[in-house]
Amino acid sequence: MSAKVALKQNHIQQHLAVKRADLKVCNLKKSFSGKEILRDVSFKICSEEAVSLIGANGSGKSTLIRCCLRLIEPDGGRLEFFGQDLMLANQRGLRKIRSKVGFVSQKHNLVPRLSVLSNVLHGALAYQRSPRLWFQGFAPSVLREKAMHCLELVGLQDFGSRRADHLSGGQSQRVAIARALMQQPEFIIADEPVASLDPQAGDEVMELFVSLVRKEKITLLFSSHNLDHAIKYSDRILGLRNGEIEIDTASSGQSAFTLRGFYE
Amino acid sequence: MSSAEAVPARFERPSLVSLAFSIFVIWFILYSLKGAGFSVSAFLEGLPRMGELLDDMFPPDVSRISSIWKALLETFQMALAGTVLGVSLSLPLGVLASRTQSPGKITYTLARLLVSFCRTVPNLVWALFFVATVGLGTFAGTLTIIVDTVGFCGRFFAEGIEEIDRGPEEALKAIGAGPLAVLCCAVFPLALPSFVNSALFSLEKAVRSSVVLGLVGAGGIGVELKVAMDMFRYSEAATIILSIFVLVIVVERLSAAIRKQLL
Ligand SMILES: Nc1ncnc2c1ncn2[C@@H]1O[C@H](COP(=O)(O)OP(=O)(O)O)[C@@H](O)[C@H]1O
Ligand SMILES: [Mg+2]
Repeated sequence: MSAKVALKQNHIQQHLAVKRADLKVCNLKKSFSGKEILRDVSFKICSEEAVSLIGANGSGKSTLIRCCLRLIEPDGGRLEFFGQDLMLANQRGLRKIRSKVGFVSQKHNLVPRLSVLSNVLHGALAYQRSPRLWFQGFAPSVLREKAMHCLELVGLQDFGSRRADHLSGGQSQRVAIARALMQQPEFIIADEPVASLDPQAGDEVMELFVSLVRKEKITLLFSSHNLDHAIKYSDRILGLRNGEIEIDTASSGQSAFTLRGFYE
Repeated sequence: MSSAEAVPARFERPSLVSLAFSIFVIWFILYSLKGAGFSVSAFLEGLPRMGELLDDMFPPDVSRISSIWKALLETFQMALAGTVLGVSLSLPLGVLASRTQSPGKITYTLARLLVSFCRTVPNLVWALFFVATVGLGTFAGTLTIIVDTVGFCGRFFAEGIEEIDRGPEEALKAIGAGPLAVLCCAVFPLALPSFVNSALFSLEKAVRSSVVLGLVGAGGIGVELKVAMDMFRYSEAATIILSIFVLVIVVERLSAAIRKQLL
């Protein structure tokens, strides 16, 4: 094989790697007690893309997001993360795939009685099985320092020893983001990450969150009912209605006004 | 006068079935008083005897106070050791017996059955069983308290686990944390206040029951009390009863203080 051909193949591989679909969802279905919430959902998200998911309240955004990680078991369809089939994976395989995917939900879901530092360290449970991570006092110093660095990224380096339930809503959500960064994921899924915050704190946290995710080159899927956030922070918008993806469009050039029609 | 008709009757007319059932219940309660041997005259006749007994008890005899304190300490140690061991066993059992954390339907049912069995068999029966198998003394009492604690804490730990917020647990599951890590990092810290509460109640309960256990020979202060009563040394019995009273009060106060600190 000549050097030139090898170079070309290398180039193609790199090109493919960039364009690789990190998440593929095909014909996903989910009903709750006979009521079809997800009828037939299909979409792809490529590496390093930021995609927003919009839809009315109760349209099934949270259900879809939880199904993607099999936190809710889908009734049918196919799920692929990084080319690996999630539906066929056993418990171990499932954990392995999940460890590469960060999850930030509307509620921060920190453990209230533990310190902020312990909560951030728990992000490392994705790749470290050691019981030393359960409590910050026993954690290896490398990881403690890394956790402090993640707290620094979200501007909470002075809050490490604070109890997690002694924080404001915005601070809690930033700790949840630090926990997700601690995990060093390749992909982050966020379910209305700032919906529980007031508009100003919501804008700030969203700005911080997306800039960190972009800087770390993490692929992002987030749901939002804030159309401005969807347009500003994502490359592509998915609109969920009647259990199907009815909109799949680049976000540039969209205006909140035209998208609002989607809710009618 | 249609508006007046809309006002519901003050009393609903009972159906024939519920009337018959109520009459049966009232009759059965009265019948039970008879079956229980309840007799006002016997109580009145016994009153002077009670007075005499109280009179015999006072002033309490403190001549054997040091051996009484020793037995009291033994009782408390029995209660404490039994509760600590029982709580340690209840923790895994509570996980298995909780709807949300149990690994499967069969383990859940088995764990529930085991806990119910420990709870529904009265502790005096357990004490008789252990005295018959491991012999007289505090070890039989400690085993009884362990079983009693498992019956109590196993159930309330499971309920404490079922009541927690599932969010933190989901957050850790979502990133692929193992089941043990999820339990220790999310479930237990959230259920901790409920665990501490149940464990302290269990300790109070154990102190009270360890007094009674001595009566069937399972060690502790109960043995002293039974001997004093059997030998008609009522003034010594009074000392013992007062000491028990002090112990129970002290333990209840202590556990209230701990509860306040931790919760
Ligand atoms: N566990 C569940 N059991 C039954 N119904 C559910 C459950 N979770 C969600 N639903 C229903 O599914 C629909 C979609 O909910 P959700 O995914 O939370 O919507 P969204 O996040 O878009 O507001 C709602 O009507 C909700 O009532
Ligand atoms: Mg939702």
